[in-house]
Amino acid sequence: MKAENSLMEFKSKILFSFILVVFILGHLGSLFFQKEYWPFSPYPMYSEALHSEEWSYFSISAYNAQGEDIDFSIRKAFFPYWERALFESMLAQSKSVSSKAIQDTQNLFLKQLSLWRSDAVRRLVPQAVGLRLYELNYTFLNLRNLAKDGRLYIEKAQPTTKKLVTEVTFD
Amino acid sequence: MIKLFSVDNSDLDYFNLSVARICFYGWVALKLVYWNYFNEWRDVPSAFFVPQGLAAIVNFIRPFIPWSTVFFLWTYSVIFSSLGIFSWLSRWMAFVTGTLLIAQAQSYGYFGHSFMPIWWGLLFFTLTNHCDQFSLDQIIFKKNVFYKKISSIHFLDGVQVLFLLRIILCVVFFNAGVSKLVNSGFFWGGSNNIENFILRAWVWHRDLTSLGAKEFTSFLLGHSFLFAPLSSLALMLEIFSPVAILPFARRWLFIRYGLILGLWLMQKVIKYTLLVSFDSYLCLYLCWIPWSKIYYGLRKIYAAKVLY
Repeated sequence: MKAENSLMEFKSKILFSFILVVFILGHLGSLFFQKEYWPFSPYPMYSEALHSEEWSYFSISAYNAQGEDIDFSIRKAFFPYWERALFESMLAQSKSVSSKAIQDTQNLFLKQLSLWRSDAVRRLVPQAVGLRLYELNYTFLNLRNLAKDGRLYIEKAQPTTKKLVTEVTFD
Repeated sequence: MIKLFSVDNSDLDYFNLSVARICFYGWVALKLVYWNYFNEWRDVPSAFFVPQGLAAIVNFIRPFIPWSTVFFLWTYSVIFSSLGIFSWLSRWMAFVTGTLLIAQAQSYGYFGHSFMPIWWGLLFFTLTNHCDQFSLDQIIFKKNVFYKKISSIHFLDGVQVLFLLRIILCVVFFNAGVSKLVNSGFFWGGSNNIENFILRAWVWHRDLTSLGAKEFTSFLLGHSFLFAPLSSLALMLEIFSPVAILPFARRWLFIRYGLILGLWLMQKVIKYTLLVSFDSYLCLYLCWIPWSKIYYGLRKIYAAKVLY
C-alpha cells in the first residue's frame, strides 16, 4: 500500500513537472517570438506605444434608403465576434486592399455576415439598408483639448478627415 | 521541486481548492447565463465555428459537430461543475466544450485574451478530484461505491492543481509586462503614451462609458503628471507578478497579496480609463484567496464571542 502510494506520488510529480514546463515554456516561446500560438500568448495588449500624433481607425455606420448615415453600436450587433473581423471583411471587398490573405479568408465571412448579422443590425436600426466602412483620422492634440475644467468632452471629438472606404448592401 | 508546491497542511489547500472550484465555475456560469456573454454563441450559424490553435485539430470533423449541442453541454457542465454534481464528468465536459467555443476564429475568446486564461483553469481543474470537498456529490453519493472509486482518481494532487491555477495569472501578467518592454521599451511608461491610449479608447468605446468612468478619467487627464508613475507601477507589478508564487512569498504574505491586490486594482483602473473589462479574470483571482484562513478565522471570532 505504501509502495503504491509512493509510486502514485512519483507519477503525479512527473506529470506536474511536465505540465508546468509545457505551460511556462509555451508562454515564454510565445513571448520570445511575439506571436500567438493558442492557448499560448504573449498578451500584447496595449504593448505598442503610440508614437505618432495622428491615428486612424475604421468605423462602421448603417445607412438608410436615402443614403444618410445612422450611427449605431456595431459591437451590440456583432457580438460575440470582434468587430475587426468585419472591418477586414469589408476592406477585402474594397479594391484598395491588395492583401490576398485578407481577401481569401474574409470574403466568405462577409457573405455569411450579410446573411446572419444583417437581421441583428436591422433590429437595432430598422431603417438600415446596408453598412458603410469609414476610415477616420484623429490627432491627439485635438483630443487633449477636449479635457478641460476637470471634464472630458469626448462627445465633441471630431475626426480631422473621414473617408468612405466601401459599403455593403443587405440582401 | 518538492518544496515549490508543498504546504504546511494540504487539507487547508484542498479546502481552498474546493471553494475556488465553486467560485471559478460559478463566475463562468454567471457570465454565461446571467450576463449573456457566451450566450451569444447560441444563434451563431454553424459555418462560423472555426476552432483555432490547438483546437484546430477538430476541424476535419467540424461540419459534423452539432454546435447547438456543444453550447448546451457547455452551459450545463459549467453549472454542474460549480455545484459539484457529477463533478469530475462535468469538469471534463466543461473543458472539452469550452475549448471548442473559446478557441473560435474572429471571436473575443481568441483575439481579446479575455478567455484564454479561463481555458487553462478549465484544464487544470480536470486533473484532480481534491476540489470536491464541498460538492453535492459528497452528499448525494456519499455511500456509493462507484463514486468513491471515481473520486479517488487524481492525476495530480490538489496542492499541485492549486499551484497551477495560481501561476496562470502570474504568467499572463509577466508576458503582458515583458511584451510592453519588447515592443516599446521604457517609452511605454511615458505620460504622453498613456494619455494617448486613454483618449483613443474613449473615442473607440464611446458607447461603453459611464459617469463614474468619465469623472475618474477626467481627473486623471487633468493631472497628467500621474501617468508616468502609475504606468511605471503597472509595468513593475506585471513583470514582478511571478514573485507572488515563489516559496518565500508564502512567508511574507504582504508581498504575495500586495502583488495580487495591486494587479486587481490595476485592472479596475484599466476598466475605468481604457474601458476594457477583464472581469473574466476575476475567477482566477478567487483562486488566490485564502478561504480556509478566512473561514477558520471567522469561526474563532464567533467562538470567542459565544464564550465571552
